[in-house]
Amino acid sequence: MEKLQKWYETWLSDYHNGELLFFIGFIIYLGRNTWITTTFPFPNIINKLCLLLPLLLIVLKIFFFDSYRVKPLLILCLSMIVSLMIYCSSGYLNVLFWLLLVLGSKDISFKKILEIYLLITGSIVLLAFCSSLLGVIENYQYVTTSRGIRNSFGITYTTDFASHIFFLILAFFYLMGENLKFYHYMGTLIIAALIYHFCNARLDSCSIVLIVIVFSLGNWIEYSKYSGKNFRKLWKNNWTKKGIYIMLLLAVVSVVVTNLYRPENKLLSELNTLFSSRLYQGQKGIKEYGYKLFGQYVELVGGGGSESHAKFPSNYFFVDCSYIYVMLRYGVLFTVFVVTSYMAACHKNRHDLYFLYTIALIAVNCTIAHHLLEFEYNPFALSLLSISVRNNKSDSDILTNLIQT
Amino acid sequence: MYTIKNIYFRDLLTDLHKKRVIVILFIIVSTLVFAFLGYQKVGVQTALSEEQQEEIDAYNKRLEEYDKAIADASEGVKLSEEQVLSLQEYVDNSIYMKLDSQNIQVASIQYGIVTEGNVGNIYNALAYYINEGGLKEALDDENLSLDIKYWREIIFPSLSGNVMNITIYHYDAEQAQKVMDILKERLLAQIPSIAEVHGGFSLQETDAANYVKADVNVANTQNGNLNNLKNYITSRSDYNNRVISQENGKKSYIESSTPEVLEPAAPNGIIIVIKYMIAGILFGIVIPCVYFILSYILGNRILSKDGLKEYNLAIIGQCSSKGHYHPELDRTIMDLKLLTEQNGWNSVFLNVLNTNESIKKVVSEYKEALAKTNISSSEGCQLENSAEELRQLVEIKNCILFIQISKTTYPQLEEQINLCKKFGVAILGCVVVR
Repeated sequence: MEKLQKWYETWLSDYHNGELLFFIGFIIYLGRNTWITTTFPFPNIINKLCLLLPLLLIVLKIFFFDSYRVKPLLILCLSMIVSLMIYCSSGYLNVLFWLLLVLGSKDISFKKILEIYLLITGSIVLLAFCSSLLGVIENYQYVTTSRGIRNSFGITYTTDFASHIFFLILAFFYLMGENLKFYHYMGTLIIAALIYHFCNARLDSCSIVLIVIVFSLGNWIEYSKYSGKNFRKLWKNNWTKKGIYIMLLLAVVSVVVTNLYRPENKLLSELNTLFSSRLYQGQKGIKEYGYKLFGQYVELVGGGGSESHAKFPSNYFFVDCSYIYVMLRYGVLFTVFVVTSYMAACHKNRHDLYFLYTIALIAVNCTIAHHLLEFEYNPFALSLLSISVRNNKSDSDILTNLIQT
Repeated sequence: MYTIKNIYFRDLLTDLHKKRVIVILFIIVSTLVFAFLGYQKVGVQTALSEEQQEEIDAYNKRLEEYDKAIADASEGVKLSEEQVLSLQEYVDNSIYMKLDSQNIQVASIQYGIVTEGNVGNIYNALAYYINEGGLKEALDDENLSLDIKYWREIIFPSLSGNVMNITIYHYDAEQAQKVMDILKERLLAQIPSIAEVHGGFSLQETDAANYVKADVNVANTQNGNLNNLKNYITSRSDYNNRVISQENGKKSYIESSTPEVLEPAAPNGIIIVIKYMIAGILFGIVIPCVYFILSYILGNRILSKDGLKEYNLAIIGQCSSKGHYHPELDRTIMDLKLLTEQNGWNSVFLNVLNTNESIKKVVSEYKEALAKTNISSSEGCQLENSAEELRQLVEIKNCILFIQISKTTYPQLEEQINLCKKFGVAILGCVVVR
């Protein structure tokens, strides 16, 4: 018994064990969520196990290794209560899992989280891609008269495949930061062109091009001898002070424009066509379901999957805009909470321009895609409580100071 | 607490090479598993799924409906064609249809039936002979043009009292008379046969006349026939259109609704199995790579000398698993000698971060080499627990860290660095041991 006690104390004293608990849970959850976006088969029993196990591991990590002061603890308890109320109101457990993972990522290296995300999601998407080309799994091809053949390459829908590529590239660019080179930009532009050609995911292709533009411009301004000092300062100040609010701005604009949409209004009508009826679908959702504080069950019929691939559903109804999607399903309260969380993460990382670029790009992408809360696409919500990739001082500088005698 | 490190893909290649037997085995197993799945799929593809079968059944049923509709319409075409031809032939050739209803050539004759028997029976017999009987026997070649088959509707017998009247309609007066002549001849020849049955009788011609008359009934009948012909033609046209419509419908349906799989395919089994095997090889390669990279990310062991870069530690020597030093041990000792002389130190503390045979061997070789250059050395591996070792370290004021790849952890290294910083001990560098 004494031995067990000693072992327990030793185990608790090493924070690395807490990290391991979180990462094992995160890997299983991420792997499972990414796997179900593919056309690989997935037995139901393993599906359930891959939800229960991460839940257990992350809860263990929170209980045994995390500590909170009073105020954050109250916020934590309140958010858990809200998530349970959302579950009662809508039947969705997604909020609970989202919150648990965010809380579980406290004091975990965000760099490691992103590396694991790139590894797990990247591997599964790569395997799905290759397997679909080999015919081992389905490559759903959606044939449209106006847009030709759209491939999904082993993922359930073409835009989901494109979204995976977008977020993987974004995570990679964020980690690389100032180490991005010309060939990274060129390679990404080629990928964007290929996505457009084979998947015809126009908006996602544009988002990928936007990554190149923002990061290359940012690096050029920061490091090029041709960019003026004043301009550099202006760029940095603007991003540091205003970059935090980009997601809030886009969320508000999305909701307002969706509400104001009228087919008779030429501008909004053109915008709706440009965004493939997203305004119309969003407004339809708002009219049918309305705003609820704690969300509701919203039945969405998308264009992906085996049945839709054979024949596009006649009752198609899908809200692609993340802000409207989250608001309808999980409620106004939770939407405000999510946007606030991202703003808090931006404030925390306000000196990391790459982080601000990343969140801005996610905010833009979320106006056309519904992946804001899905970790298999967007792991950046985990930056809120985790250890930043870049601080005011670099981590190596801190250690260098320790060594000097 | 966190560890800072980069992942070097050459470490991945090194690990893959180190564990190549397991990796190759894994690839083989993965390939075999996928080959088996591919083989199963070949079996499944020879049979259709329930959904596919339902789709095909519905498709075939619809095609059958189309075929039936086409067959029915074709049958209708055939029937109406026959009707059209028949009626057209009648309209074109019959004497009645050629009549000019306002200008009918009539030949008529009246006979008195003289008998002691029943006049009605005799008349009936005569009328049947005219309408249904032997009057229709073939004419001789000379009179063929009279078209005897159409006589039925141009010869009208009637009885009034004991007077039988026979009227013949024709469009040609001469032909009307010829028909009348033949009729008279055959009628008279028939008398004995009739008399045998109905009793003796005679026919006495009381009157004969040829004249022209108009008869609206003829026009009506002709119009009726023509309307019928028109209807038959319309009907035929309708059936034809129906056939075309159904055929077009069938063609469009085939173009738009043919199921992807119409019958169990005879797949090329070998190609499918090969594709699955390639997928298996991919899985077999990717999964170990993922495992190793995860172990780098989640683990905290130092994997190579590159992992020490962030700590700005000078790597003064490396020792391979086979005991080869790089640079040579003498060269390293020379460096140490110069450093100690520069700083006025006459001793070096060898701080060993792991205790196993390979690192102990290296440490003892360093000790010997240092001793040869008159530099004394102390060794320690339990600095966090041993007060004596700590005292020695602080007294000597410098140390060399001995790090073993894949054994020493980053927290261990950081702890020693912090300890040295705390007591103002200079770290001369580190020796990396594989």
